[in-house]
Amino acid sequence: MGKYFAKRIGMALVTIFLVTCLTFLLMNAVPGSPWLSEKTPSEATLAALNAKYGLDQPVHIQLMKYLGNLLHGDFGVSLKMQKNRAVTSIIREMFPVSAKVGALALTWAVLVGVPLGCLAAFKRGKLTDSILRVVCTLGISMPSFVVASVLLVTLAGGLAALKIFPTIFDPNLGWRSYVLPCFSLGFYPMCYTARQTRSAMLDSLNQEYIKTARAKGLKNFKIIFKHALRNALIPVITYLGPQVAFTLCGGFVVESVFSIPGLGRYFVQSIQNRDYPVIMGTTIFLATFIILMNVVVDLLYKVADPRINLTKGGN
Amino acid sequence: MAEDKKMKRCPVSFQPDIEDMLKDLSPDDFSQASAEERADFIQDRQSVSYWKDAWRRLKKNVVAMVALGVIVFLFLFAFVGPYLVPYGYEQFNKGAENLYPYHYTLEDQKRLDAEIAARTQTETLDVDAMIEKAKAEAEAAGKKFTKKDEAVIKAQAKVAAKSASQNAEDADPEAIRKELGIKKHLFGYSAGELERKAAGEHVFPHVFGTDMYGRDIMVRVMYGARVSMAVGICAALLVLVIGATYGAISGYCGGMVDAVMQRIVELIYSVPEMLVVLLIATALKPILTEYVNSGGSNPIKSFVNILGPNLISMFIAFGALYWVTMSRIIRGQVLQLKQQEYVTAARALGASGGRIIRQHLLPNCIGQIVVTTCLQIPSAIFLESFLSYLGVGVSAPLPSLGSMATDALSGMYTYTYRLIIPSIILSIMILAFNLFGDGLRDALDPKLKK
Repeated sequence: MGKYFAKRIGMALVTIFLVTCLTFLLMNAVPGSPWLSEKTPSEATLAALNAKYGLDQPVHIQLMKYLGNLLHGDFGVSLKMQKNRAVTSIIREMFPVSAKVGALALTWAVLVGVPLGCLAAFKRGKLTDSILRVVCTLGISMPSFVVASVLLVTLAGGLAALKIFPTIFDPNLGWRSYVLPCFSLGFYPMCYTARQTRSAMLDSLNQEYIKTARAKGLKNFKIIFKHALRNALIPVITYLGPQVAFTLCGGFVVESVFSIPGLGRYFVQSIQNRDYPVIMGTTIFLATFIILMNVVVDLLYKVADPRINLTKGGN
Repeated sequence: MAEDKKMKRCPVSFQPDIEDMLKDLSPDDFSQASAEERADFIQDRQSVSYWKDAWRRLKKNVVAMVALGVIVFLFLFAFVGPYLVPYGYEQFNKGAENLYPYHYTLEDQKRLDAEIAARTQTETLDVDAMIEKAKAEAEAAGKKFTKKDEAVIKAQAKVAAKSASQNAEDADPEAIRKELGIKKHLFGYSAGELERKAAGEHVFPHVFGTDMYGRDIMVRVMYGARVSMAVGICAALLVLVIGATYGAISGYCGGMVDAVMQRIVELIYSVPEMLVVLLIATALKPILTEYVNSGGSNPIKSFVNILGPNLISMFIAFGALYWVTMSRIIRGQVLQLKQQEYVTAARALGASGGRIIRQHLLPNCIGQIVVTTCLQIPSAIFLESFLSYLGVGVSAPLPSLGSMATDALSGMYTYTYRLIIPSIILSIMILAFNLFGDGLRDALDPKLKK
């Protein structure tokens, strides 16, 4: 276990390092200098600016410097959108909003998806199962912006619901402004979770111990939630890691649609504005977050099922 | 001679005596079989090939067949459709801006205008008449009609006119249309086009309406669907080539090579794909654009130019990251297959590793390859729409379903159809590919069916 843990963390660190280097090199390879705007600065100013930000040095030295700064928690400063503001402070301000929306979306996705999957598996072949299958297949075929816009358009059709749940994010309204974004963000993971749970549950319901449980007269509820689900959840947990990544990235779109002042929306804006330090900082930050989440999920996996031997059963 | 060498038969043998049988046969019995007799001899059931068998199973799957039908329809829509519609995706149709996907006939429009005019102009016109009337009344009553009275009437008329024009502004054309019983007709036509149509000219309708520049939405959706499908299929093929090669080599070689290659796969697996794809697409686009614009020409440059820098950068991003799933599946299959006798036999005959992989291993996991490739298409379309929605995908003049949805966001309540039409087509496309992929998996690999 300890060895596996060390290996997994080491792997994660290597990945983060590589993503960082890749990001840095890609952003450096982009033609054009960040100082080009409507009025081109003079040669002397350009040289001074380049010297100030260390852009006059060779790329590998810049990379080393950047990595060194990263270790000190310094992501550089924004060049365009909020001039000279540290990227760290932008991330610190905006990430909590994104994280909250993402976490809420994922929570409802799992809390609804798992029971729906159980229901579908239990009613296999019946009408409920067919309906759920259609809904879930539809759900994994709709990008989050489609869900969001369909939601907005249907609700805008004279329904009073829009007055309760604002379409434009307003933190003063509290939980109500989270409803629509979280719904549209969580719809895909919900359907995905339900599908995964269904197939895992079907496997698990065919096991001998379920027959035993039924033979000794247990109620359906107890059979499903106490015996079958515990084993069915394990493959579902495996998909939770990628889901975290997916939800966070889906957040880019949903945050733009609902004007949520989160990191995702800011990231998109920085891409459109070509504010390279912000793109770089945000990518590295989010990538690190996602990679670490994957490690956590892997370890949860081990906790959920002690029978799994991670060191050998990798493949 | 035969008699001489007659073999001794064991008396209890059940073996039929050939000599006895031959006695009963005439020379005619040895003539060639007629065509009819030959046909009788052929087995009733012909051997069923792998693909035929899979196709038979697939045909039974109604959902998959419907999905296939939808895919074929969308394919025709995207690749043949633009030739049937006389509008271009970049063509600004003057006078046809902001058309809805429905229209009113010319007569109905005239009726509507008349009705609105009638409602607004009831009292404004007869100010002078009112003054005359009041004058006459005053004279009849023997009173003097002063300028003051005239001013009062004028002021009253002004107020009335104001409220009337207010009424006209308030007058909802929708409500009046309902009152008059004017019906919507399918497809959008501009006023000019309706007149030309009335003059007997053949005018192609704007089936899905037009956008704010007067560009036909249906043509744009067709091109968007074309981009999505092309990206989906090309990206899936790219993934197929890289993933199958990598996985097969890794699985076949085994040992140290496999270990190193699998560490690389694990590394790429833990990279957050969408983020890095977004990053690569963002960064490569300007690099490739500069490369194309840098002057001079060589085959690579013109190739990049034809496809467009953004599509290329999307392919590179997709190809660089998404092959890992495919390679894992192929590796797993190859690890199983390479233990088979026919691989050993091929090796004993001196076949090279490359030949064994190409001739023996890959053809035997063709089912898995086809299914994984097919399921890769919707995920590529998903990604393309995501990137285009964020503005890093397909660039401006060329439409994409994702970017059309973003453009429509600003006026989404007034021009809902602009947002809904591309979104629905995109969802249907992904859904159809997903369902067909599922059906294909069930058909090609019945063991996997859950």
